[in-house]
Amino acid sequence: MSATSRESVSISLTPGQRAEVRRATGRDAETLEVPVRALEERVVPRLAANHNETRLALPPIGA
Amino acid sequence: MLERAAVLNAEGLRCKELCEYDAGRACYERALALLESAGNADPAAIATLYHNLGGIEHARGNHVAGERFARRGLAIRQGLAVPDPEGVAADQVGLAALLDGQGRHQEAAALYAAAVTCLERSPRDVAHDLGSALHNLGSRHAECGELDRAEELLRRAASLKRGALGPAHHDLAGTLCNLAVVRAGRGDAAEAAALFADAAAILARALGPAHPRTEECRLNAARLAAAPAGPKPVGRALQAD
Repeated sequence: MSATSRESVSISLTPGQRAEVRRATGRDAETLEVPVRALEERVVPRLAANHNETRLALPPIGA
Repeated sequence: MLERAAVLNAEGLRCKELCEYDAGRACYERALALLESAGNADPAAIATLYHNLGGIEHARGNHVAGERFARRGLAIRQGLAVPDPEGVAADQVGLAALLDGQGRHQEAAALYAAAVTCLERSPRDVAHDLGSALHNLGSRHAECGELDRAEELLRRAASLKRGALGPAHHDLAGTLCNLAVVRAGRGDAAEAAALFADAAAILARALGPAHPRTEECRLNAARLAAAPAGPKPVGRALQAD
């Protein structure tokens, strides 16, 4: 596995993995590009934070 | 342990969306108890659970109670061994919303500004957090009657959220609603009605056609479509759904 940029990593597939990809997708692939963020979420699950957002109100029409 | 806490946290987030606040709070508290009893739990995860407890209280309008949780989460995250400036910024936005709800607008505005500065400079993918910060900052300007600036910020927030979350996410609907209120405030009832209708369609798919927010948007779209021309004043919604 090697880092190709800040955004993604490239994972070299084993012959068995290549065969699985071919079975599942019908395509040949030697490597898999995975976004770093997606990989992190699988290796070290992070808890998602909610967003406290202000809600504006429409006043009564004609008021 | 972290996996169980993550599942409980996800359930808490879902409960908040469905306005099931007591159930959501119970989920976060169970997750927190799990992590705190472990002794060696990830402090970032604990900070996020306090952040989310503050979020539940914000959603139901208990801003003072929420502030305590939000400050605790922020303090924990500021003390992490590996600095997380984007996480701190997101916590600042959450805390600022709770201060805003208490009428402490200057404190809130300072926190929003700090968070936006941090998030705009970040090399990370923070579009959702930045969109949320700009949503709240824009709403603050709207409440001050600064509708030009409010509209600019809310349009940017909507664009960021659309890119980060896709066109069907309920968080985007919230920004479209506030933009609608601002457009109505500027006298453009037709665009305001269209924005509320877009938000209602998103919320109907995301949260259900009978969800209170869906019904509120649909009603607002209909009221504006039938309204006489002219600007409408901008106000703050009671936060509880």
